[in-house]
Parts: sequence; C-alpha cells; structure tokens
Amino acid sequence: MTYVALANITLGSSASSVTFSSIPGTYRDLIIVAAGTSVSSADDVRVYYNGDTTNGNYASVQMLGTGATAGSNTFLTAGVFATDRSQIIFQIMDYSATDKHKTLLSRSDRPGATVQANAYRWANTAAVNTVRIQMIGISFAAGATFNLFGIAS
Amino acid sequence: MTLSALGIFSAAGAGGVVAGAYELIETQVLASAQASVVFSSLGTYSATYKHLQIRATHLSSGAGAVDLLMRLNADTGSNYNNHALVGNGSAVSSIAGTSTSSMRIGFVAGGQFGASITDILDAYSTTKNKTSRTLVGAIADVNEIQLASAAWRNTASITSITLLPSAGNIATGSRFSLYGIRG
Repeated sequence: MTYVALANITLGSSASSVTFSSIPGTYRDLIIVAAGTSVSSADDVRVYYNGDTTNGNYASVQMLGTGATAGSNTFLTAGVFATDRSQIIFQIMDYSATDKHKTLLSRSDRPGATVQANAYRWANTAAVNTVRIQMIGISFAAGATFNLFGIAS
Repeated sequence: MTLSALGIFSAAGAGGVVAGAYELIETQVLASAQASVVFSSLGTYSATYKHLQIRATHLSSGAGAVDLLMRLNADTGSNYNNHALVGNGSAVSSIAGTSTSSMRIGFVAGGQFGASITDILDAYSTTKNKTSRTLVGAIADVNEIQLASAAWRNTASITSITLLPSAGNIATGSRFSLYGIRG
C-alpha cells in the first residue's frame, strides 16, 4: 500500500503535546492530520523531531488571512489550534532521508477565524523517528485527534 | 472520521478521494544536477487514475531561488496561465502570468532543500482544460510559502509531465514522486 495509516492518538484529557515515536523509516513522507480544539484561546503549534526541542534548530515562514487582513511572518510555528474547531495537516517531506534538512509544509485552518499555510525546517539531516506536536503555551483539549500516515515511494 | 472527509490527499487540504485509491507511479531521485525532470508514458494510466499528485523535495543548483515550471505533453506554446499567493515572512503578495510557455507551479530554493506538493486535477479528461494547484515552501536562501494554481488551455489527456527550473539546474538529491489517484 502507498498511503498507510500508522498510528492514531485521541486525547482522553487535555495535553500540551502529543508524540509519535518509533516511526519506521520505510516510507518517503509522513502526513499528520490534527483536528480538535485548544483548552483556551488560540495558540501556535510547533513540531519537534527526535527529541530536539531547541527552537534555534528550527525555522518557519507562514502566510495567513483573517478575512480582514493578510500577512506573513517568521514566528516559529507550524499551525494554530484554538477553542473554535481547528485542523492542521502536516506534510513532513523526505523524513527518512539523511542527506537533507527536513522540510514540513502545513495547512492550518480555523474556519471561524483564520486560514494559513506554513513552511517549517529542521536544520538536521537525521532521519526522523519521533515527532512531537507541541502547543506553545496551553494545551490541546480532550478529544483532539492526531492521525499519522506514511507515504511510500 | 474518514480520510476523504479530511481531505488529506490534497495539497491544499480540500477535497479528497477514497482511501486505498492512492498509488505510486514513479519516483525519481536525481543522481546528478539536471535541467529538467520528465515523467513520460503517462497515457498508460488514463484508464486507471483520475488525478495525479507530485510530491517533491528540491534544491536549485547554481542559480539560487528560481521558479519551478511545469509543461504538459511537452507543449512549449504560450498556452498556460498561473497565479500564486506568496508569503515571504514579512508580507503577502500575489503574482500571475498569462499566455506563458509553461505553468509556474512554485519555486526551487537555493542553499537548502524546499518541498512542494502539486495536484493535477482530471489529468486524463478530454473535455477539460488541465489545472493544477501547489503548496510549496522553503526556509533557505528565500523564506517563502506559496499557494499556486496554473492551467494548461488544452483538453488533451496528459501523456507527459516536464518539470524544470526557470534558470540553472535542479540539484543532486532532489526527489520527485508521482502518484495516481483513482476516481
């Protein structure tokens, strides 16, 4: 199969992060679909690999529209979760390669507030075997779902 | 919750297809810098797939950040249009081209690999002009995220796809994977 469901996480209680570990290196790309809400307000979501939570090793650029304004910035984020229904699709490209930094593309949608797209790079050529999805200051609410897929090539 | 409901097959996160109907056609990993990447003999799949998707990681060789272009069926005529929404870390802008000799589907950065995901919709229809949409980004010599769309004003079924940078080459190690989506 080309598009394979690898793991699913549904939060039974609020949590500031979720982690997919022991990801096999047998696929070309990873896709993570995150859907749900935060416990309070809107907050950015970061992605960390292989236990590396040093923000200086990551960089991003985002583009977003609110319905009233459009903008772009380089604040470190791969998406946003809020108390209104939120969804992020992370595309982690060539995650198992060892000859390139890891690029993530994402679409992050809050239909009630914003739509945005992000590019996000980990300055490391190591194959990714662990992905941690982290809210910066608050938590994902109970019921949030995280689905991990592998794309073969 | 279903795969199709989440639209996870699409670059832009809209739409979707039936789970299990997404298959690899071909992957090319460049062993040396190349001026273009070609997927050919795609007519073979006209009865099998409805849409095509290209997933790629790419790096510019020798020219810094340049446009990533696409031609269908090797048509070099002025038969293409394109638009893109561009975020460069400080502002959002829009670019467009009409009657161009290729589809501008994004960019290839220099210095570090970037990535793109391009959907080619109704690739084998013989009644519709062909359209594509791309999510492309890089943190490299330029920091940009783009949403791009392009059209080929031709109803022919697709037999080949040519990807090329607007200048220079695509660097060694760049990867282009073509997938078919049943419909």
